[in-house]
Amino acid sequence: MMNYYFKLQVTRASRFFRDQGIHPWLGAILACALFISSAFYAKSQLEYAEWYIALIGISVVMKSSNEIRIQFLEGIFQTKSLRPIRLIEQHLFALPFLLFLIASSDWLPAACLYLATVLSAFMVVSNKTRKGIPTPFAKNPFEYIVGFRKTWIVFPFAMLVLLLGWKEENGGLAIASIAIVALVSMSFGYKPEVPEYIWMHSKSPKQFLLHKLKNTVLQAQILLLPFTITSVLLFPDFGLVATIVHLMCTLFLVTLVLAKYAAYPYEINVSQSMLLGLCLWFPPLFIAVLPKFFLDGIKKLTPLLHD
Amino acid sequence: MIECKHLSKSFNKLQVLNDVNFELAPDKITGIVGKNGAGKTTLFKCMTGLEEHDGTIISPFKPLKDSIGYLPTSPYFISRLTGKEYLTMVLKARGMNADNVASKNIFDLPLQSYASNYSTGMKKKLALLGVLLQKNEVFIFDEPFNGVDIEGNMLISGILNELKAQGKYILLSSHIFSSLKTLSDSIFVLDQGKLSNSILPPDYAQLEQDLAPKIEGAILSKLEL
Repeated sequence: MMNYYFKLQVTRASRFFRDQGIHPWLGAILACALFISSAFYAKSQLEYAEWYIALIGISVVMKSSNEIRIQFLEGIFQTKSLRPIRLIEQHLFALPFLLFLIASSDWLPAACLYLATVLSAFMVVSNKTRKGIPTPFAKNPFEYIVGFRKTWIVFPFAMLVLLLGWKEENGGLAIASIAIVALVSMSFGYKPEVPEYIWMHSKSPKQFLLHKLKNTVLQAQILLLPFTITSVLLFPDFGLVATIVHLMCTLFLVTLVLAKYAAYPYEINVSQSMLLGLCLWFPPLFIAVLPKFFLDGIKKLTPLLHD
Repeated sequence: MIECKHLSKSFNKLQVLNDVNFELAPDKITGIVGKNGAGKTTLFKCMTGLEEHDGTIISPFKPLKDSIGYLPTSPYFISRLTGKEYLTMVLKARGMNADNVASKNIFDLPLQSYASNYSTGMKKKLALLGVLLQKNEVFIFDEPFNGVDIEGNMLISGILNELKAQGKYILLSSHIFSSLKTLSDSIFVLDQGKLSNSILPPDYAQLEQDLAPKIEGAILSKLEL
C-alpha cells in the first residue's frame, strides 16, 4: 500500500507537468534547476539566506501537516502504516532544502529544519479558526481577504526585515520588504476560481476585468503603501528606488490578474509565465503584454458573462 | 414564459442532453426528477449559461443569467471567507447594496465564521440566502433539501411557496419525492438525456410507483456482504 501511495504521488506530479504542456522529466529537471539557482542566488545576495531557506522548508513541511490532509490520510490508512508514510513524505518534502543546507555547510539551519521535519510527521496543524481574522478588505471580499488570511504571518515578518534594515542602515532590506509583500500578494489571485464565482457577476467581460483590475490596484496599495512610505521616510536616498519597485510590483500584480483570466479556466501556462518573467526582465514589454492578456481574458470570459 | 427549445449537450462522444424541450411559467413550480447522472445538473448549467449548449432559450429577461438564482447541489465556498463576506460578495457581484445582510439572516447562520467550515446543511442555507437576497426572477434549485434539518426544510418549502406567490419562475430538482410532489405544479422526468412530457398532479402517484427502485437479490449478492 505504501508503494502504491508514493507511486500515486509520482503520477500526480507527472500529470501536473503534463497539464503545463511539458514532459514530466523535463519538468522535474527544470524544477531542480530553478530551486538550485534560486537558492544560490539567495545565498549570494541575502544576509542570513540559509535561515530564509530553512524557514521556507519548515513552512513546506508544516503545510503538508494540515488538518484536512491528515484527516484524509487517517481515513484511508491504518494507524501503523500511516506513521512511516508520514515520516517518509515529510523527509521527501524537506529533502531539497536539507541537501542544499548540508552542501553549503549550514549545519544549524539544517538541524533546525530536520527537527521540524521529524516533529511535523507527528503533528496536525489546525487550519480551522472559528471567527474570521479581521482584514481591511471586507468591502470587496475575495482574493485579497482570503490571501491575507492565509499569509498574514508574512507581513509582520516583512516589517521585521524593514526594521532590521533601519537598524543596520541597509536600504536594500527596506526594498526587500516591499518585494516580499508584493511576492506574497502575487499568490492571492493567480489561481482560477470556479466558474460560478465569475458567472454571478452582472457585468460584461470587459467590465468584469476592469473591476478586477481596480480592486487589485486598490487592495494591493493597502498592503504595499505602509512598507513603501516607511521605506521612503527611513531611507530618503532609496525613495526613488522604493517608489519604482512599488509601481513595478503593482503593475506586475495587475498583469498577473489579467494572465489568470487569459488562461481561464486553466491555470497560467508556461508560455504566459514566460511572458510575465520577460516583463520583469524588460519592463517596456508590459505595454504589449497587458493588452494581450486583457483581450485574451475577454475571449475566455465571454462564454460565462455573456448571455 | 421561459422556453427551452431543442437543448442538447455532449461531452466528447457522451450525449448528456438530447433535444430537451420545456417551458417555465411564472408563479409555477416546475419539478424535475431523474436518476444520478441523468443530466439534471448539466441541464441547469446550460440554462444558467455555465455550460455552452446547442438549442435556444427564450426568456423575457435580458440577459437571462443576471436574473437567475442558481442553488447547486453542493455549493462551493472558498476557504477563509466568512458567511457575511460571502453574502457581501454575491450581492456586490450583482451591483447591489450589501450593508444589511446580517439582519436578513433568516436561517440564524454564524455569519462571522468561515463558510467553508459550515456543515452541509448550513452551506446550503447560506447559498440559498445568497440567491434570495439577490432578488432574482428565476430560481433553479438543485436538491435544496439535501442535508438540511427538518426545520430548515420546512422553511425552504415556505420560501418556495412565497416565491411562487410572487410570480417567480422556479425549477426544482429533488430526490425526495414527497417534497417534490407537494410543491410542484408539474414534474418532468429526465432519463438518459431525454425529457418526458409534463406530468400533472393527478398522475404523481403513478409516477412515484414508476420511479420506485427494483432491488433484486442478484444485485446485492455482488457485494458479498
